[in-house]
Amino acid sequence: MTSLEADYDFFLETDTSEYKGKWIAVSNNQIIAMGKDVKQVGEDAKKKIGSNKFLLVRVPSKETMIF
Amino acid sequence: MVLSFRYKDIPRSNGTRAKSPSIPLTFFGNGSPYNFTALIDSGADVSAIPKGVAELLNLDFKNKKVEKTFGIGGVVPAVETIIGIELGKGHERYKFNIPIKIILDGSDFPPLIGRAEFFDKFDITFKQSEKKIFLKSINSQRY
Repeated sequence: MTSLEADYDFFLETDTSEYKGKWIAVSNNQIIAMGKDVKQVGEDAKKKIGSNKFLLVRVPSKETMIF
Repeated sequence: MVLSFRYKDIPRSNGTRAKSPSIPLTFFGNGSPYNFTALIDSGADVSAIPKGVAELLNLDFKNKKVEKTFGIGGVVPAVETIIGIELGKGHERYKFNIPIKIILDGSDFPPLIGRAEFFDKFDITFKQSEKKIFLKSINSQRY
C-alpha cells in the first residue's frame, strides 16, 4: 500500500465531522494541518513534514451538495 | 484490471448519511505535485478545482481568458487549462492529462473529476449499495 492509499484509508475511517467545511492534510495516520484556505493548509503541511507526501481533503459540510 | 475505491460516509444535518464517490489522486502543476481526494462527478462536462488549489499547484491561469461556466449554482467565472493527474493502487497506476476549469469566484469545493478525458479512459461503475466505485481501464493500458 502506498502512502497515498494509507492516507486515504485513514480519511475514510476517521470521523472528520469537527473539520466540516474545512481543508485537512492527512499524513501517516494523523491530521497534520487544517484550515479554510487550501493553499495555506498545503504550505503548512509541507513545512511541518518537510515533503509533499500528504493527502489534502476538503471535508464535506453536513449540507446537501449539488454541483 | 479494475481499480476500486470505497465511498466516504458523510453525516447530513437531517440525520441521514450521504455516500460520497471520491478517489485519491495526485495533481501535477508547475511546482510540487499534491495529493487530493477528488469527487467523481458524472454530471460535469469537465473537471473543476477552486482557485486556491490552482494557486497551490502554481498553475498558470492569471493570463488566460476568463469564460462563463454554468452549473447548478449559477454562472461563475472560470479559466480552462490542462492538468496532469495520476491515480492507481499498488503497481497499477495511470498518469495522463485532463482539461480542468479553475473556478475564480472564491467558492470552495473539493476537486471535481468530470467526464472530459477521464471518462474516456475508464469504464466507471458506481455501486452505492457496496459503497464502492470501480474504474476499469478501457484500453487495458497504463497512460
